[in-house]
Amino acid sequence: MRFFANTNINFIENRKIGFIFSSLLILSGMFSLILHGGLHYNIDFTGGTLVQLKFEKPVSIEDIRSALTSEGYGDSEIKHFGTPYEVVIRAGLTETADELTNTFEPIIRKAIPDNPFIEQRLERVGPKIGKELIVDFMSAIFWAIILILFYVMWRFEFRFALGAIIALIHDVFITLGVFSILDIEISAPIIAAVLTIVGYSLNDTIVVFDRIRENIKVRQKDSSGFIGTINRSLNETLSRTIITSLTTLFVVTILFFFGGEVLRSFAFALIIGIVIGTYSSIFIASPFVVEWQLRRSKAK
Amino acid sequence: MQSSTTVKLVIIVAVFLLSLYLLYPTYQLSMMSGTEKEQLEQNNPDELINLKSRSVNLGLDLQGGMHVILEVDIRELLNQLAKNKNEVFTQALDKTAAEVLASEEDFLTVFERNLNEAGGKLVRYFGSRELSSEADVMDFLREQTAETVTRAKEILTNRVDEFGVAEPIIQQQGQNRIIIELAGVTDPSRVRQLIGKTAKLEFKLLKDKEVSLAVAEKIHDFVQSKISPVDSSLAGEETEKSEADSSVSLEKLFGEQSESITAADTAGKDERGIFQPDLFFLNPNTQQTILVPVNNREKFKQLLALDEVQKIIQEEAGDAEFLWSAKPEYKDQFYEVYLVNKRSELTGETITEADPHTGSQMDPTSIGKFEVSFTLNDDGARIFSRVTGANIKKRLAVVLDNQVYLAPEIQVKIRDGRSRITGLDTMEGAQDLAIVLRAGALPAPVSIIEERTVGPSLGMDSILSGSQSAMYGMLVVVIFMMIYYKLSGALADMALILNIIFIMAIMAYFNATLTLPGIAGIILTIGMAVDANVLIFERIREELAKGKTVKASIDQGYGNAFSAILDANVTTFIAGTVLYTFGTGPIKGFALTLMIGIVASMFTAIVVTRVVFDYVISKWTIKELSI
Repeated sequence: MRFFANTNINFIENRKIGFIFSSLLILSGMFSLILHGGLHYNIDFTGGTLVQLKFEKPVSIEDIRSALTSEGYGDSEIKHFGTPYEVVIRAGLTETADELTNTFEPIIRKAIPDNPFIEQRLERVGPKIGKELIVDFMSAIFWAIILILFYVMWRFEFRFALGAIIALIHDVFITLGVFSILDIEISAPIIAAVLTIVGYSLNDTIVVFDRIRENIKVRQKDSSGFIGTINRSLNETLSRTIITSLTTLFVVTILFFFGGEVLRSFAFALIIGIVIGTYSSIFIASPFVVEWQLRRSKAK
Repeated sequence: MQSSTTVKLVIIVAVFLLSLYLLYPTYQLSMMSGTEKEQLEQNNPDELINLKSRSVNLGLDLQGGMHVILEVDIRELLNQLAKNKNEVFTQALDKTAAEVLASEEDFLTVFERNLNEAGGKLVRYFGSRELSSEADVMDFLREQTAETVTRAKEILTNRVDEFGVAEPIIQQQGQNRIIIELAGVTDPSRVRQLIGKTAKLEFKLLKDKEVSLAVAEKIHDFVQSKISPVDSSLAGEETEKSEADSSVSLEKLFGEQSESITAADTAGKDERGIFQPDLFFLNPNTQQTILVPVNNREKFKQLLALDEVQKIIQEEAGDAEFLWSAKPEYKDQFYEVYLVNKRSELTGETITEADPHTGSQMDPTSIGKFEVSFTLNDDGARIFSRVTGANIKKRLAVVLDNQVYLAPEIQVKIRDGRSRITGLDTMEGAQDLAIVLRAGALPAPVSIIEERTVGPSLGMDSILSGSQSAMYGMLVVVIFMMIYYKLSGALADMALILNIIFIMAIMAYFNATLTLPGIAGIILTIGMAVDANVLIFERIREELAKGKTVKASIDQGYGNAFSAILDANVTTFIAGTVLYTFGTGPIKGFALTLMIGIVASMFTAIVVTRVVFDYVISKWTIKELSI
């Protein structure tokens, strides 16, 4: 069995299509970010208090909201979590963990007496912790990019390092953009997912670059020149790129469906990231290296 | 060639057996039921600890429990250490507290800068003969902070140990944070009480009746003067009269108790600010303490914080302060407020014993309540005996964390150093208080800045869905590889399963913690571990297509794929390292399994599969490779 045997797709010639498509994706992501006033951070970043309750019977959000509102806690955010049996209540920074257990829960118990519940999860994050997390995240992205840039420069060439980094930034931007468009909360695990995407996208890109590196060495006297070599390398690795992405996608998709509510958004970020990462390693990273090369030789 | 293949094969089998050996404790533990574990804990606790230290831990998100980050209040510590505090000092402290919220810098650095900007010097507040330069003082303060955090950690460890949680994890994080992880906690609010309490026990003498009365009247006059200037002159006359006959003026000033209660009911609805009539009353029983209706608590606190009121206290009573009763008294209608000496006669560092018990049946107010009685050590008892002997007929307040629990009149000199804290609502509350008293007070207050509690049932759900999806994910990959690469695919599958065994064995060896994101990391590794084999197999296919022999194609395939696999894995490993360095909690868990997974997969996907290929080729002549 074999997919994509001996393909000869002209990726480089048609690189403008990829550039335009990516620009559109990035622009719509940025538009959404502006529209939403930034990313929708969860309490890991903003700080606050959150409690997850599991009821014995399905429960309506409205019942809980009206109970809390009548006691003066109307500004809490109440959502179902995965199933109608589970509810997440997110209160502000002023409410303490004790208040949630000792004030909120009795109110709900009183309002819905025939539907007992247990506390599944309680989280309270101070405002300082959240700010630190953002700083840590930024530092992580920054250092990951710098270290990888140096490694790729050492193993390959500067123009390839540049292409890899561009593809990487491209992936992170688009993934965050999609999260903004779909209004998905950014939590600490999502950040982990985004950073995994960084690694994964690189993985793909580097396999292609490795082939280019090899082909440049072996077929120095090739008539098709730099562009031809890159295009052939892309085609030669296409089968591997697709197979690997598919197997990883299988696993992550299963995680999305069966991994439970806690891992769902994490898995979703990975699905998006893998699709985008695979796409960028074919349509962005190497074409960018070509574009960069052409412009530089023109400038000379 | 053949002999080197055999050596490699032996090594692989050895590593495999070693992994099984490393995983055996984890297997044993996971096979034990809850009751079996309890039995083992009773019969042979060392064996259980030994088992646990050699197996993979489950994170709190998987087994349920409580994760708390505490921050030691450096501001309060500086406040305690400083001498000759003034406006400049307090303002710099306030400013620093606000600024560090948004900055990565540490408290002391920011504080020094703020103090210098305001024209202050550290030496002025913390200096001594030994500490004459700014740098010396800074070093001293850093030392003090470090020591305080270490001590706080020790005390918290004692408290948690006495509370009786299995395997608590207590670690210092950064400069002034302490992480506490408690598995299987069922009552988070109790734990919060236990670890959040400073537990500073002090004995303070109440100011004499006359002094307390004078202060109360002056404050009353001040409040009156704010409500209406005319009233204030009247009140002034009354105060003069009161010197002649205080008990008469008291009733005029503060009214009968029955009246007060009705007044108090309306007072809560009154929103005219802190200046209002009936804000507080003199306790008619003792005529020494102030009663504040429950609803007026915040207002009276604000009133006490006013400079004018602080001045009254200073002028009338000297170095004194008002302290609140721990709970409302008199049918839960009033807080009792005590005017006490700022200086404490004795602190609780000298407690040797503390025991919870039910309230005395002799005293009607303590029936149905619980108390903690405690004993001071010899030094403490000596001081206690001297203090009580010198102050007979005076009242001595038992103060815990600036709240008055009890303020009895000293009847006789107490020689045995025994005292108690009364009026606790639950036996658990009394038990926990006894624990914190025995463990000692924290050297500075701590606050909970992060808390995550996961119920045990959510943990169970997570394990189930996590391991299920890992299994399904593997199954799909295994089947796909067998279809796509046939027997070679099956070989890659074998490598994959080995890979997971190795990951778990490495985690067990390091006694690492498996969290939910950690499982996600393993699942991702499954997907990516296949990649190395895909790369190799694609290369072998290419070589075969060129018409090379099976052996040459395998050699060439592995050779050509190696650089790509290495570079791809190294970059992902770099990303993992960065994640591990900057990440906290869940992200760290993810990064850890990712890194272990990369190392393990390099070994299984490159070395193990290669050895099997070589072995097969050396044994049989393969004309056509199943790939």
